[in-house]
Amino acid sequence: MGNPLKSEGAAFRWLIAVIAGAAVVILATVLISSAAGAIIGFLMIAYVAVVIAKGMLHMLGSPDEDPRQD
Amino acid sequence: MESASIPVGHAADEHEHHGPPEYHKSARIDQTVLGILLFILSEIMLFAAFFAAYFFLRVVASPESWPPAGIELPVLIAGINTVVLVSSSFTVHYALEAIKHNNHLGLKLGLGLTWLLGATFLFIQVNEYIHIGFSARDGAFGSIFYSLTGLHGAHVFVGLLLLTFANIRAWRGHFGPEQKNHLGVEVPGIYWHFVDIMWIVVFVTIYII
Repeated sequence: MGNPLKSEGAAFRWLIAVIAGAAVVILATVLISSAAGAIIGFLMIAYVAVVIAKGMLHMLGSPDEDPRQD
Repeated sequence: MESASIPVGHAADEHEHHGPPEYHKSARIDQTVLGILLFILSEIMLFAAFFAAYFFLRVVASPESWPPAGIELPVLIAGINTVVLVSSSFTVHYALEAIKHNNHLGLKLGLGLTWLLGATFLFIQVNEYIHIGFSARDGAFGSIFYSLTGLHGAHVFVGLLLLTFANIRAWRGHFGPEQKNHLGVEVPGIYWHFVDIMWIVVFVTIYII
C-alpha cells in the first residue's frame, strides 16, 4: 500500500485498511474473547509498523548514497 | 482514489536546480514531507505512550473488573460517533478529488461537510463526558479514559482549525487542480486521516476490547 504520507490518497487507503483490521479485531473480541482481539490487534499493528518502517527507510535513504559524500 | 503524490526529493525542483542537492537538504525527500513525517511519527509515539499506560493499568488491575464495576461505557453512542468521524475522511477525500477535477463547488461542499462532521464528533464527545457518570478522578480507569479520549479530542480540535483555514481558502478560490495548488487541502487531509485512524484504535481499545 505504500507510504501513507506520500499523498492524501495513500493515507485514505491506509484508513480503509485500518477499518478492515478493526472489523477483524471487533469480530475476534465478540466471537472469542478480549484477549484474542488484543493479540490480533497487536500482531496487525506490529506488521504495519514493520511495513511503514521499511517504507520510511527507503524514502529517507542512506547517507552512503548521498552524492555529496567525499 | 488514485492521486498524485506530494513532491518527494529532487524531482519537485528539477526544473530550477541540477546536480547534487544543496547542503542541509536531503536528496531523497522534500523538507516539507520530512516535516510532516517527523510530526506524524512523534504523534504516533505520543499516542503509543498513552496506549502503553492503558494496557499496563488494565493488566495490573484484574481483567475481570475492567472497566470497574458500576461503569457502563456508552458503546452505541461511541460507535455512532465513530461512523461520524470516519465519514468525515470520505468527505475530505471527496473534496480533494473534486479540486483535482477543477470542481470548486465539490471542494467547498466536501470541506464544509468534513468540518461539520468533525464538529459533530467533538460535540457528541463532550456530551458523552457530561453524561458518562464518572470523572478523571475516579480511579485509574477514569484517568486513562479521559486522557486517551481527551488527547484524541485535542487532535480533532487542531484538525478542525486546519480545516477552518482550508474552508476559508476554498471560498476565496485559493485552490486549483494542479498539485502545487491544492497542498493546503492535501496536507490537512493526511492529518485528518491520521486522526481518524487513531480514533479507530482508541475506540476498539477502550470500548470494544
